[in-house]
Amino acid sequence: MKNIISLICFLITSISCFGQERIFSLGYGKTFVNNDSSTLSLSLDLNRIPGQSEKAGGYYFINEVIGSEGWGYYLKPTMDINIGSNISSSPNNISVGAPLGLVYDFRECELGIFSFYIDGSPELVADKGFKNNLYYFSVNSYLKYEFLNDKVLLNILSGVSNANGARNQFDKGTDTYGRLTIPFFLKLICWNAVSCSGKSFKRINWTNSFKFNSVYADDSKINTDNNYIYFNSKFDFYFTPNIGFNITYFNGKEEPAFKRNNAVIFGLTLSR
Amino acid sequence: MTKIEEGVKEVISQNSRYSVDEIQLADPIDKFISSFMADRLARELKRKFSQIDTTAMTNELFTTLKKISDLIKRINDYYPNI
Repeated sequence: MKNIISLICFLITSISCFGQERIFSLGYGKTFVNNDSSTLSLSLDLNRIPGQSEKAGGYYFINEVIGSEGWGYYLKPTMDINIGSNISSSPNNISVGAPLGLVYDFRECELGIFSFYIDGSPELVADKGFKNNLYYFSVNSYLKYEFLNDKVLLNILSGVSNANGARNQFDKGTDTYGRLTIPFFLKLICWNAVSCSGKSFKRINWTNSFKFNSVYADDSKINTDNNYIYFNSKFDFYFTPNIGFNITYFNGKEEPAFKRNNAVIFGLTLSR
Repeated sequence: MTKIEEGVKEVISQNSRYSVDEIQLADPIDKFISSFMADRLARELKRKFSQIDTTAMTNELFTTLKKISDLIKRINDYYPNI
């Protein structure tokens, strides 16, 4: 069966700073890439949606206003660690950055509320052994949207990002690196419920991130396709306000190694 | 209703689908605006209450400040003479 699809079991531990709903999840999953073996994965996120360099919520070094007409500026740290013992179950990358940017808050309209962001950020994206590293400066602009009423919360974020810098490999030297990215994030929370103790909560929390990367400068041995897609979808079904069941699926190729990921994970979510 | 209570409800109302009268002190803040927009809410509060520390407020919203009443108490700290 190895020549068809390998169904490989692994234990996953993930801790996410993800809004304030999910604080911890434990899971058991399978990968769909040939010749993989059992694996253990760990993910940590600060100010990032996994697999996507968004800047929603989270901790800020600076968040200030400019004047009184909707403008502001910010500086916030970002970190994303996805470590696994197997390449098909995790991007196996470590990303850090410090975006400094401007933001404009539009007045609320019938559709909901919008904010526009533009920032520049020095960033490091390394593999788990720090043997294959990307150093670059990225310029990003994106629009953040929210619709919220009693029944539904919808958050959407999308924009464009351009990164220019270098790839440094431990034993192969340095190459120039450049990429253009279109990210898309969607979060939907719905289905009102009430617990036995009378506490109201939402049963469904569905989070998706999609990223299209076009790499126009890189080491040709690593960058064989130029265009890469990375997709991540997580579905939480809450039994109580604090305990839920989750299914996570991810597929695609991600910096720095652009190796294929394809896996589904079933888990238990603890939230606050 | 104090001026700070009035101001907080006005800011929340301007960033949600709820009117000032529908916002109660015991309500959780995320009934009106989610943590996804915490940075925006802190900036909007700064535009209304110029003495607050926007960065500190951003990092406290939805963590230590979860209810409208928590938010009002925190802003009161910046205005000791009101």
